[in-house]
Amino acid sequence: MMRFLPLIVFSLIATGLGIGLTLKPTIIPSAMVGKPLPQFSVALLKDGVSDDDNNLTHRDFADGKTRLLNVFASWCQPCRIEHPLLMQLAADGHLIVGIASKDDPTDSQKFLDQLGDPYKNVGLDLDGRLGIAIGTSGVPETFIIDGNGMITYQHIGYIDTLTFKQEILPRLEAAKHATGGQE
Amino acid sequence: MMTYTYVNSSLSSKTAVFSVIGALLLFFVALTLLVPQSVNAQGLKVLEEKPLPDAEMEQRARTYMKGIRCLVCQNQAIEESDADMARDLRILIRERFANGETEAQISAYLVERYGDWILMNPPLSSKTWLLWSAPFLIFLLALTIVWLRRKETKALVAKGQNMPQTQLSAEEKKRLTDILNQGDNT
Repeated sequence: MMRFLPLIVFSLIATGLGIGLTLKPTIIPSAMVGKPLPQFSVALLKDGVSDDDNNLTHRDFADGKTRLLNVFASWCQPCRIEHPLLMQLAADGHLIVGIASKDDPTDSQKFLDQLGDPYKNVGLDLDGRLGIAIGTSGVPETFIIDGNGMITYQHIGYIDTLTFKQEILPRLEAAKHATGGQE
Repeated sequence: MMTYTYVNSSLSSKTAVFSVIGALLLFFVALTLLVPQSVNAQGLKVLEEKPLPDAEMEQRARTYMKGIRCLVCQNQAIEESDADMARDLRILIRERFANGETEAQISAYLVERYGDWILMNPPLSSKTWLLWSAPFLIFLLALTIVWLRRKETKALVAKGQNMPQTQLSAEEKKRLTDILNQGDNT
């Protein structure tokens, strides 16, 4: 028994470090997953300016329809990478709500005019507070909000085709199945 | 004469180059002055970071910020980070201090969103008990190993099994005396 002790200790350390290698310490998951959307209210984007009469609030969710909540910005390069996939999702009839993070409304509008607008509506998070409220640590991030207004999933960073097929679509369908979501 | 004109012309071309560089520099300086203004003019809410008016409260806030981890930097407190995200959190924290919230209340808000990760000193919980007790566990393990080894040695000594090392055979004794005698001779 004593003879194997160094080997056992070595194996334990090696396993621990091995697991550590597979972790991504730069990705800090939101602790909001599994919780309802926090209360918020931000102005909507309307023709390149903020719409002072209409807000995007947490009450716009939880109406029995599953939505994607996508945090983007015109200054964000990875957002351009995932944009075609969002366009495809929108074309397939999924509801996507955009949050323009710390972005000039004019720039957000230009971004959407150039690349296409996949969003049902876009909330303006001018000071970044909404991002903090839902637990984002950067842009882009994508959340799935189910029909009950619960955050069921968070993806940090841009969506690539693999994530799209393996993570987003199945979870979106699952959330729709559980809480409704067809138009 | 030729040389002189040559030098002169090269001088004037140098002056031209420098004036172009100068003009470019001026242009960029002008740009940096223009950009923030145009951003503000178009309605982007750029929050300004400034210390709290109450010096004592500012001190409290600063101390508190030393314990809040920056989300986009590796293992740096927001108090010492230049990251945009850290700045946003500092402004948020100052605002909450000014609203009379306590450290615990602000931590509760942050932990609800980012988990214990956001705290530089993760609290003792069902997830972190192993982390906090690791030093003591390792110390106990070391003690156990030392104790087991001593017990093993004692058992061997009792059985007389490690005696051969201290008791020489007749042949070894003879060799030893031979070597010692040789030493005397030389």
